[in-house]
Amino acid sequence: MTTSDHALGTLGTARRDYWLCQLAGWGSLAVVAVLASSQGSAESVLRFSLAKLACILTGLGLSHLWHQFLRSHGWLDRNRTFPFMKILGCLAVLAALQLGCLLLADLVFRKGALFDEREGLAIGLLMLFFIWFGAFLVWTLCYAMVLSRRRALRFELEKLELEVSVKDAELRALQAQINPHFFFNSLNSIRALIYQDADSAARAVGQLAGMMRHTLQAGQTSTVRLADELAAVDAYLGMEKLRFDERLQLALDIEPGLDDVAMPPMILQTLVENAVKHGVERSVEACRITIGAKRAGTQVLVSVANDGTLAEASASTRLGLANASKRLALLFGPAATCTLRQQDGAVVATIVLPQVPA
Amino acid sequence: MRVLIIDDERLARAEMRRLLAFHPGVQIIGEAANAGEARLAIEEMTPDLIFLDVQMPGGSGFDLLASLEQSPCVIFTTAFDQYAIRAFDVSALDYLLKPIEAARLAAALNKFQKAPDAPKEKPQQQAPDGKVFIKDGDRCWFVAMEQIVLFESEGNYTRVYFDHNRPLLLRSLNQLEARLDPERFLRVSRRQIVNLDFVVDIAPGAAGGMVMTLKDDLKIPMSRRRAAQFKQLNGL
Repeated sequence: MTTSDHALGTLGTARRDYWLCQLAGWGSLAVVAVLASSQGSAESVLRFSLAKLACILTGLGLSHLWHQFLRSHGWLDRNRTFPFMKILGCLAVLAALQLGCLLLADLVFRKGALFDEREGLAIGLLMLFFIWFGAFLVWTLCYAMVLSRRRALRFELEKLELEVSVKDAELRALQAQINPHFFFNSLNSIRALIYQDADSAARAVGQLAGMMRHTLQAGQTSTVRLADELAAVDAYLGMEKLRFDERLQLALDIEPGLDDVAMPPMILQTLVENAVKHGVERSVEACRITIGAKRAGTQVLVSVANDGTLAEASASTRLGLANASKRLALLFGPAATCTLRQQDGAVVATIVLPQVPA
Repeated sequence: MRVLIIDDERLARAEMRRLLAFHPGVQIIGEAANAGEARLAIEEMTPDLIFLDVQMPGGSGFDLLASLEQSPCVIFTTAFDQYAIRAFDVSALDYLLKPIEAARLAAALNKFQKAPDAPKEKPQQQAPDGKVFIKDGDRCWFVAMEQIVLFESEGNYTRVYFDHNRPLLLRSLNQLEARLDPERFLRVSRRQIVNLDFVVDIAPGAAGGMVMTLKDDLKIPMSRRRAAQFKQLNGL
């Protein structure tokens, strides 16, 4: 859904909600008013009720005009001071207009019964004026409250949407980066190989190309198949094997039938790069990297283990893990995680991918 | 010119060898694949020049240099800028980015041959004033001995004064004194060794001693005993 669609959608529901509130408010007022006039002869009750219903209708009409007026003048807009005195003045005008309508209705339906009692007429009219003034005041307060609440909600929503989209873009950009250290070292290895073993050099160029392609495409898709990610990782490790020789030992433990499992691109790749950086690169001796994938209940667990001890994780590692977790959560919900732990002389990173039961 | 290649990757060392083969004046005396091997090789073979990879298992190239009593000339090799920039800050002789371009290598070797403190065809005898590599926290310096104004003892460490820097060196003043050129450096007190090239003024001080004024207005008091030794040494 694009932003404009979305705005239109909220606008539609806002209009509907407005009329629902209007009808509910004035409707209940009408019911109360009619019930309150159930005394006297049937004819007078009917006349009184009709007069009251006419008043309710004019009240509804006036409040709607008031609503249009508030909107067109922007008196309740967020970014301006509340024009308190002006609003009170308008409420007085509304009350006066309504009082006029009331007198008219009285004249039409009750033949001006209100004027029969000359005594206390002024006080009666004044009271009616203030009652309607109060009614419009309450209406305006309710309207302002609903408006501010809706604005707060919309603001929250927009903020959240923005955050999610910015974060996702950031994370993708971060993980679609080619590690320049790796890249230039690889070129260096290939150049050395050209003189020693042309076939190996050619194979290495193919691997580097495959890995680069996968990395560059990673920024464009939200998920990849596990099989594709593994192929890219394999190409990457092939390159690293050239650099590190027997210092890099590789073991794969992939359960069959997991080829089509979806995962965010480059997460496994990032974990393997970390294993090389913190395991193999720092070790003078041989270092084993084990990549595993298996089904466990409704989850698929993908793990990368490297010999070594979990040193105090560096800022970049923690950032990498946090990013991986966020990307997983954005795609698959909070059950999808990425964690790092020490286990039997190895550092193990595990990705948990929840699977929707077929 | 006797050079040592230090890199943890076999192919990278092979590539370096291949490139150096075009320079007949260069004699490769060995290779090392990690910091430990490199330290032994440098101490044993005293190369004129080392090609040093920055990232290695068992300690970075910087750690290796900081652990050496005296550093040979260094050309850093690295695959990516981040460390090279630091190497440049420490005014190492030069740095080369892998894959190394033949022309850049030739220029670096040329620069080395022109460098003032490059040993000239006297392989066994070490130049008395070499360079010392100092790593203090994240900052690194590669300083020629003759640039250092003053060494000041701080327990097991020594504060080194040069230009406007005052880094700490992980070595005691006594350790340092043993290998300093006595013609240039003088122990003026229990805590200090000064470079005589930077002495600006000498004036009488309290209790029959003297006060030495060095560059940047550093004032060093000398005891009477040391002052007498100093006068004798200088025929005053």
